[in-house]
Amino acid sequence: MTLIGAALAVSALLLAAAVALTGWRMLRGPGIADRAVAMDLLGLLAVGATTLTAVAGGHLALLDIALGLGLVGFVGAVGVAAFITRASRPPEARDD
Amino acid sequence: MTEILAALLLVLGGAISLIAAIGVARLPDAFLRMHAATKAGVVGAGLMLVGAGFAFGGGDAWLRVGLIVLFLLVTVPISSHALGRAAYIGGAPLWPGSKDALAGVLPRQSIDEDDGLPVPAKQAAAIPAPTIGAMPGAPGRPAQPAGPGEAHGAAP
Repeated sequence: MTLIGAALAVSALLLAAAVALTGWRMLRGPGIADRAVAMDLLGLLAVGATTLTAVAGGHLALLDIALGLGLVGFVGAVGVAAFITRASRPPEARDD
Repeated sequence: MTEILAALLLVLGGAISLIAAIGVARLPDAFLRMHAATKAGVVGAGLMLVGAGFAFGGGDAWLRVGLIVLFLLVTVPISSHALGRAAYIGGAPLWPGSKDALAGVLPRQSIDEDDGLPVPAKQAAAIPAPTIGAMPGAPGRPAQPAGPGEAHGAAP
C-alpha cells in the first residue's frame, strides 16, 4: 500500500467516526437548531469525503462535486435558518 | 516529498473533522456546538482539500482546490451566522455558564421547560384569555398557529 493509500484509509476511518458522532447529534436534537448545526457539519464532512474519494480514484471531476455539495449545504443551512426565524415570530408581526 | 505532505494533510484534515464532530456531540448548547462545527469543520475540509491538491499536483487540481477553499471560507461564516441568529430568536436554551449579550437586542422566543414547546411571551401578555379556537388539552396556553409548534414537533 502506498503512503497516500494508507493516509486515505486512516482519514476515511476518522471521517466515518465524525459522521457517526454528528449523526447521533442530529438524531438526538434536542432542538431544531442543534439538528441544523449537525446538518451544516454533515455537509462539510461530505465535502471532505468526496475529496478523499477523488484522491482514491484519481478522478479530478469529483472535486467539482465537492464544490456542488458545499453549495447545497450553504443554501440548506440558510434556508433552515430563515425557516426558524420566520416560525419564531409572533403571528401578528408576520408579513406573509 | 509532496506525497508525504499530501498524506500528512489528508490525515490531519480527517483528525480535525473528528474533533469538530466530537465538539458537536459533546458541547452543552446549540451555540457552542455551532462554534465547533463551523471553525473546525472548515479547517478539516480545507486541509483535506489542500492534501488532495498535493496528491493530484496539477494546475487543474490546484485551481479547483483553491476555488472550493475560497468558497467555503466565504459561505460557512454566513450560514453559521444565520443559524446562530435563528437559534437565538427561536429560543434555543443557553448554557448556564454563558452570558446573554443579546438580551434586549434581538427578540427571543422562550421555550417551555416542561415539554420543550415554544411559548410566545409577548403574545401571551397581549392576549389575556385563550381564544375560541384553543386546542383542548393545552390549558393556560393561548391558541397558536401551526408554525411555532411545528418547529419542535420532532422533539422526543
